[in-house]
Amino acid sequence: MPRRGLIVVGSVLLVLCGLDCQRAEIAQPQKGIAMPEKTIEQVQQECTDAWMAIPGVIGTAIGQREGKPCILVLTASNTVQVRRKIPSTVEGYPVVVQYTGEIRAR
Amino acid sequence: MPRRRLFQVLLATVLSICLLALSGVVSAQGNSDKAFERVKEVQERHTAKLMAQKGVVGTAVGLTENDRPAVLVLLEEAGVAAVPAELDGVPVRPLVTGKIEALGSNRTSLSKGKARPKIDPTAWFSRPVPIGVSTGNATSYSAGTIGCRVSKGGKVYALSNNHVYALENQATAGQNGDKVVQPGLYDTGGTYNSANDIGTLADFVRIEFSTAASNTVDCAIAASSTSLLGNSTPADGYGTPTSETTTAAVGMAVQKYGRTTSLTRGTITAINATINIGYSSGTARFVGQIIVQSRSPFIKAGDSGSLLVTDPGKAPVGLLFAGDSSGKYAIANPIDAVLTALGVSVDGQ
Repeated sequence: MPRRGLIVVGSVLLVLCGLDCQRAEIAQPQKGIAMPEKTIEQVQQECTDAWMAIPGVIGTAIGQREGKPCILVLTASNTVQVRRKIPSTVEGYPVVVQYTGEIRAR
Repeated sequence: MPRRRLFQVLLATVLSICLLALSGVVSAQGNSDKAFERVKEVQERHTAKLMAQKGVVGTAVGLTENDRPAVLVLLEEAGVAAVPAELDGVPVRPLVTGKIEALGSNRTSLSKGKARPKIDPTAWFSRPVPIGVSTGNATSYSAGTIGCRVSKGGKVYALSNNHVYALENQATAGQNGDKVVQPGLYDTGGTYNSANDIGTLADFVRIEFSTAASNTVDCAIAASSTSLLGNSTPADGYGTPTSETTTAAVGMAVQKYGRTTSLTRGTITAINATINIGYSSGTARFVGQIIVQSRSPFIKAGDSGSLLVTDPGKAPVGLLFAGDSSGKYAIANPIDAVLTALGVSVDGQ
């Protein structure tokens, strides 16, 4: 019985993680379940693949805004559309979309 | 004598005395144009002999401490040369100015007011060559930058990027490896001269050209020697990097010296970057990268391979390899990842 419960909870958490990265659905943590706070690097890592699949996004990084750590989403194009698709906060961390242009080996 | 006559004589005498006195005063002070002309003549007549003395940097016409026209003798240091008290009746005054030098070109935004000589990092440099200057693989019409000198097992190597020395995995490394030259062939009109060799490609880390890859470094080393490769930048750079490295942090002030833009300064604005980089072989995704930002171009094409160091500490923090077209965003591998991958350490101060 406990194992099945664990599987259910685990699946719900996985789904929640996936949903967090998209602006369309901002999932709320389940009440009564203790969730460890994620580091900013963990959040960046979890969201990077999904974000870099958006046309125009060329990378993500950890930066700073007003002295506080933030996740940067770097674009080479489509910056306005990218901003519409990405939430401004994920798991408490601010997310900032920043245009850099194409990056090439120099 | 009649009164009127006496009066006339007195007036004439007074007037004469006044005139005499005036002319006497003028010549005694000697501050008329004529007096300066005279001093100038004396200066010109004696300048060659005065300046032949070691320590004399020049002569001029000026005033003594008592405001009398004089010949000035300009000295490098006090008491360094014998200066006569007077020449041809004209007072001579020594003046310590120190050495006079032409100031460097107009690069105050980089040099912060200090005069620095203007150096072309694409030029050929006498051996041992400095770091931060043009280099390349001898089989390729291209040029990048020598990052720094590194060492392992008592041998020294030139550190640069894979895409500079190893031609994006295509070059031959090892005993019979490709030669590397200074300057790179792009800066010698494309002609290879074996006299420009500074090393042999020894090792590089392969780049995986895929957007699903997790590349961490774009680096390569060429076996060299201390007679061919030095460990400091040219005189207009930051000098010798420290052997001890440091970890990148957001907000860190940094600098680099490279083949194209010489000495530039910027700030680390992001770390742990996952980023797709364009190469001629395709796009390669890198992880864990450092992003440097600067108001004026930090790196441009040809600066690849430059060592990123702290400002003013000169501690190595990254190896630069990519950037946007304006040069305001530059990407660097964390230096420790580079050194660990190649099994070398920075050979600095």
